[in-house]
Amino acid sequence: MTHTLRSPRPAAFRLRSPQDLAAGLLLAAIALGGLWLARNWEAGSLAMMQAGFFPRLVCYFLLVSGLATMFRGLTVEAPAALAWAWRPSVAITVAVVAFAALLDKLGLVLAILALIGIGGLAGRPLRPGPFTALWATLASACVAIFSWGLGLPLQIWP
Amino acid sequence: MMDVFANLWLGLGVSVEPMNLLYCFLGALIGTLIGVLPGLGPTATVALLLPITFYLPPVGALIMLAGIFYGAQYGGSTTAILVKLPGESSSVMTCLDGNAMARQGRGGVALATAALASLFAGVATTLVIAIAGPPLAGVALAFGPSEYVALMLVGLIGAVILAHGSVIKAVAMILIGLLLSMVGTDVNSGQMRFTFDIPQLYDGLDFVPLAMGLFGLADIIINLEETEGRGIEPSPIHRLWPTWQDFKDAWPAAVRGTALGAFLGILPGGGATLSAFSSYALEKKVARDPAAFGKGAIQGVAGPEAANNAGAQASFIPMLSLGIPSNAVMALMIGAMMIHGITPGPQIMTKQPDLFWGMIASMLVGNIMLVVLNLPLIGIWVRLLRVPYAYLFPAILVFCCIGTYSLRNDVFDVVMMAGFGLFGYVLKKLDCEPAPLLLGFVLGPLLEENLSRAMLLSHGDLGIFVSRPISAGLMAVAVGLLALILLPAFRRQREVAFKE
Repeated sequence: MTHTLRSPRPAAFRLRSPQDLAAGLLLAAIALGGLWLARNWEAGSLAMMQAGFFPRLVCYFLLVSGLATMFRGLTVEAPAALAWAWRPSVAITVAVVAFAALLDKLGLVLAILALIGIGGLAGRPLRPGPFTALWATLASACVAIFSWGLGLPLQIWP
Repeated sequence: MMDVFANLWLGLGVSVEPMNLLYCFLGALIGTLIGVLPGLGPTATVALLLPITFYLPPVGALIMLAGIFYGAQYGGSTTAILVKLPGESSSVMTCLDGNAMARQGRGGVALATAALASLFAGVATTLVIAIAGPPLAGVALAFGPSEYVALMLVGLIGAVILAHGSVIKAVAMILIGLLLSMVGTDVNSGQMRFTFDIPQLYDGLDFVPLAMGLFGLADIIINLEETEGRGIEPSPIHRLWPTWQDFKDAWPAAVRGTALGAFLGILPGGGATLSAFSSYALEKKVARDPAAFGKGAIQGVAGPEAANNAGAQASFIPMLSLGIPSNAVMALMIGAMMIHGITPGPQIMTKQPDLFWGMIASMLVGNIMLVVLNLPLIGIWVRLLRVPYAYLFPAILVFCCIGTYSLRNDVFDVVMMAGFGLFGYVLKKLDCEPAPLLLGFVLGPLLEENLSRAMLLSHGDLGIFVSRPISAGLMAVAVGLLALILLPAFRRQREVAFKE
């Protein structure tokens, strides 16, 4: 690894891979969160495991791997790309949550409208004509398959 | 030996009766059509269609259910290959290379390979069940808790091998999967774990919202990001059928997958999934060019597909002979048998031979029927790939949402799926792979239960894992795999990947 020659500071203190550091922080945070949630569960002993034993075991291992990944972020060179695509990630998540919120209140047909309308913003939105055709096709296919065919108790209209 | 063929003959006689043949055909057809919908894996499909079979005679009902099961299994592989949505954990591995092939315009080849590998595995495993079923059931009985723990360690370490990128991150993904599997009520103590006082979490997380979010939704976000909103271009279809070279590449993988699946499937607990994962790891290990895996290697489709079919089918052995359901589908089958007044168990073979052997022979008939049914459909499925992404991804969104909703008719699952979709995108950004996470999630409850049982039996002595021969052998395999990962050659490969 040639970069060590150019490095002005001691190798261990230079951030080489923000990606690994972030991954390590996330893993360690999940592990600590798990340990905190499991704090009151009885662990028992190796011979008599209780509900808290396995969660703690897994969280300790996870903490170690999180720390190891963070350490690697400081020592091993890796791609720094951490750009976050806001538009698709937010649009898809909001669309699915909107579907969930509307399904029981406004029925399947309108929930699908919200889902593909908001979800469409994740990419390049369709023109009104094709969009309406897609909505009509998906809504009728879903009603036919899930409501009539499989007999799911789905509310279709408001 | 003659006995076996006489029995199979008796069974074939039962299963080719016109009405039974019709039930088998209908089951395979409906099973495929429902199983192809993203999110509806074999378990959901069998559960949804179970009521139809109440009106049939017992033999017909079981034959139809078996047909539905194979159909759903194969339908799930179709969705995995075409749109990278695994309907069940056992088709996660098919996603990786199957979808890569589809993107290279080889979707038809991947589908045909999956169908033929499944057919081979199905026929071979049926013969295995007929010949070795009863004695093999004894092998499964020899498996104690420590053997299970050792076996699962082998599976989990295998999952680390098959992930590309950092070993530590793959291990961490397994651990997160284990952690997610603990959500819900602890079976032994009734302690609520990680439920946050949300009633819907008391029964634990379901596989479908997790897999749909991590694979389906996260994949849509990533595709749209990488193509700046245009979406992936549908690739031109080069050919529909495998070439002779494809065939030569694929068959050894299918044979190995079948052997693995037939063996692992007998063991109660996620037979099909573990078989598919191990087969993928094995294929990657023995391949001349392991780097091709994940980028459309045909062995990566043939092996796991053969393995999951063989595993799924072999799981009928403990179900029929011991009355032990090895997974959710088998539990449903037992439920269906009970409704028809049949108690599964060792006595079924002697008391109702026409039912037992009829069902086994119908597996043979069902597998052949499935391929006859599906090969002509490949052309139609592949045309799905040509739909522009601007139309395809909203459709995938809709089916993901309804498929998840249909599990429990609860929008809570849909919200969970949205959350896991975002989590999957974060993992992708951090270069962590979701496949090991799913394996951890599936094996988690079994691992915990067997670990605590093994420790209870040995009074906390870890030596039990090496003092029993089968478990010691499996542990040796696990350590060997671990050593392989840590070998210099392996590490060098990984470091090459880091420099880029």
